[in-house]
Amino acid sequence: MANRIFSLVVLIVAIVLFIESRSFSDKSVGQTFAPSSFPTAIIFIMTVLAIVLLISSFKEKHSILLLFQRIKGYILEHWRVLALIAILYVYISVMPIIGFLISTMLFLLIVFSILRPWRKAFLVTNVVVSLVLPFTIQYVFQQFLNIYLP
Amino acid sequence: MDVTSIFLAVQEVFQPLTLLYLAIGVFFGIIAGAIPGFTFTMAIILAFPFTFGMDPITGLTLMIGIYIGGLSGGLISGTLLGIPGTPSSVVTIFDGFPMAKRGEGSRALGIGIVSSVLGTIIGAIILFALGPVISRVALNFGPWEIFALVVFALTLIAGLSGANLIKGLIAGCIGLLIGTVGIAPTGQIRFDFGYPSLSSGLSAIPVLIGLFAFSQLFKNVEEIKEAYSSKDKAVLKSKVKIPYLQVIKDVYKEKWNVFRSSTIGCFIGALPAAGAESANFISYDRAKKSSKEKENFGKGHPGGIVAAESSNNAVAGGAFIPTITLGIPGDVAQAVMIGALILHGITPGPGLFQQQPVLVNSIYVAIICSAIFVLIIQTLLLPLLIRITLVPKSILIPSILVLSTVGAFALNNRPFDIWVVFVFGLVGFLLEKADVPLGPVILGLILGPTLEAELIRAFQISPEISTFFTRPISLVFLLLAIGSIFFTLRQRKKEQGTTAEIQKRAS
Repeated sequence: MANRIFSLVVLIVAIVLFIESRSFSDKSVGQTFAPSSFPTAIIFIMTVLAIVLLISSFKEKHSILLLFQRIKGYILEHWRVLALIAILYVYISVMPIIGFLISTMLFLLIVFSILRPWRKAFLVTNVVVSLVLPFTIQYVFQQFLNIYLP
Repeated sequence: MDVTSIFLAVQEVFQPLTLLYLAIGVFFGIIAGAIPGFTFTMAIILAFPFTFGMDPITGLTLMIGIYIGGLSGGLISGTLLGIPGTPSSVVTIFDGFPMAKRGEGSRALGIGIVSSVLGTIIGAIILFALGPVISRVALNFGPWEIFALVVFALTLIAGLSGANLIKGLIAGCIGLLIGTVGIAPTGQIRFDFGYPSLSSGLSAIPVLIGLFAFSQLFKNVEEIKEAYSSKDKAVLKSKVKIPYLQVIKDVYKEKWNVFRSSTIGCFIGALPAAGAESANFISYDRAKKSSKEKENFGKGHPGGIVAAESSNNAVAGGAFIPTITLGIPGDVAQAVMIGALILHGITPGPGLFQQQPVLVNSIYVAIICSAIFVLIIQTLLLPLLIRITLVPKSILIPSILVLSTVGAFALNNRPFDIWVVFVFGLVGFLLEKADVPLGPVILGLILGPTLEAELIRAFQISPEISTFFTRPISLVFLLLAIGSIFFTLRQRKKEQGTTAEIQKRAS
């Protein structure tokens, strides 16, 4: 079932890319290939492969219910992975608004509290690393590398 | 041989600050290699922004230090706990862990360290001997030869595809397509979807950080609860002193094994996509077949550790061959190193030996110096390095995520690259969940732009397709590509046959 979904996603991507490639400018005089030639060839190969994978996926016995069960099991067992991705998304979104320093401190503090058990000893480490790491990074980047973070 | 450039290179690398960076690189490389779930490639990615302010040789030296240190560092947790620090130290466990279990952990670590050092040095010597020769041949390469060579390299995707060949090939196509975003070799804009940030293309490094580092870090979160048991902690905290006299005797007994495995490692390293992971399996297999004590392999035979560690470290010398002679990086680490050189206005390729002889020679010197540092650091700081593997992943993962994010931003000073890292991290993670191998995506992405640019150049010079087959070197590479496909297909059929037979017997 995973193969079927994967091949369908690949086919959709191939269609979107193919449509987009039609809007590329034409080849100039003297050029053998148009800008779309190389990507189109790859899209074509990828489509053929995705169709082969799609057809072979029908030989698999796994049902969609089993797949949903697996996904549900994964979410229950590894919810922290999904939480980390969501927090990372928010962190990257707010970084240009509230700045690198504060956003990174909050990001680290929240992620540490999710990934580590709630214990007094851990709490101290969490707070210390969350405060020290962003300051160190900003100091090193600005003073030594002349890179000003958002 | 240009002796002056060699002396100048020695002078450059032996500058106190450069040597210090090299030692720091080796130290952090060993740590990255020693912690399961983290790799030296991640460490090289993290070091990337720090090279901006350095001169090219110092920057490259730092990265080489991390590279060599990382290739060796995996043996520590592999030998003591049976958990490979890096995929390239999986084979070290076969004999290292049984030796540790019977109380010979220090001896096993010593054999591993000495073999790593010898492997690195032999790899560097092969690079030193072959690099200039290949570069001279490569100077005569036209777009046809480079195109054919890249096609050959891409056929290796099949070997990277794992259980499902079709998925591997699709992954290769995805990599090639990512490489087409932005400005085409002919100057037109492609796949920008109306976003100005996409019109200049996706920088390879943020994409690689996402695909390689972020996806791996997300995966590491899944294993976070697997903390070391108190028994493992006791092993890691115990005192280790390497019996070097015994170790030297052991390695001397396996001297041919060292040469054979290092040579295999170096040549496998030279193939794009094939790295230390495959080199140590092949070397181990060869060592076992050639040994008089075959039956002791896997039960704690020093020869097994020698084969694994000398071959995976010799890969470094080999991996530099396509990078510096042809400008084609074989893996992510090499791609990042090329990125660092390009930032300094140096383009690796056939002309590098003529234009930057000191830089090229400094690579050999830095590799050999790294090997010496590996020996010194792993001998003197072994207890500390062992304890560092105890640093909790729950602290490391978020910290590395932040450092990688900053590294991606620092490349072009634009927040867009942070989004690129995030999106490709997610893509990489989902692809891994769908059992789609990431190796082919990375290979396609690294090699795609060269493939297209050389194809267009070839047709601009001569519109005849037959030129690809009439130029001898181009023809050889194309034949090798066909041979590689047939070999892989045959190998797969054989493997399937064996699996079916085993299943039949089992039922």
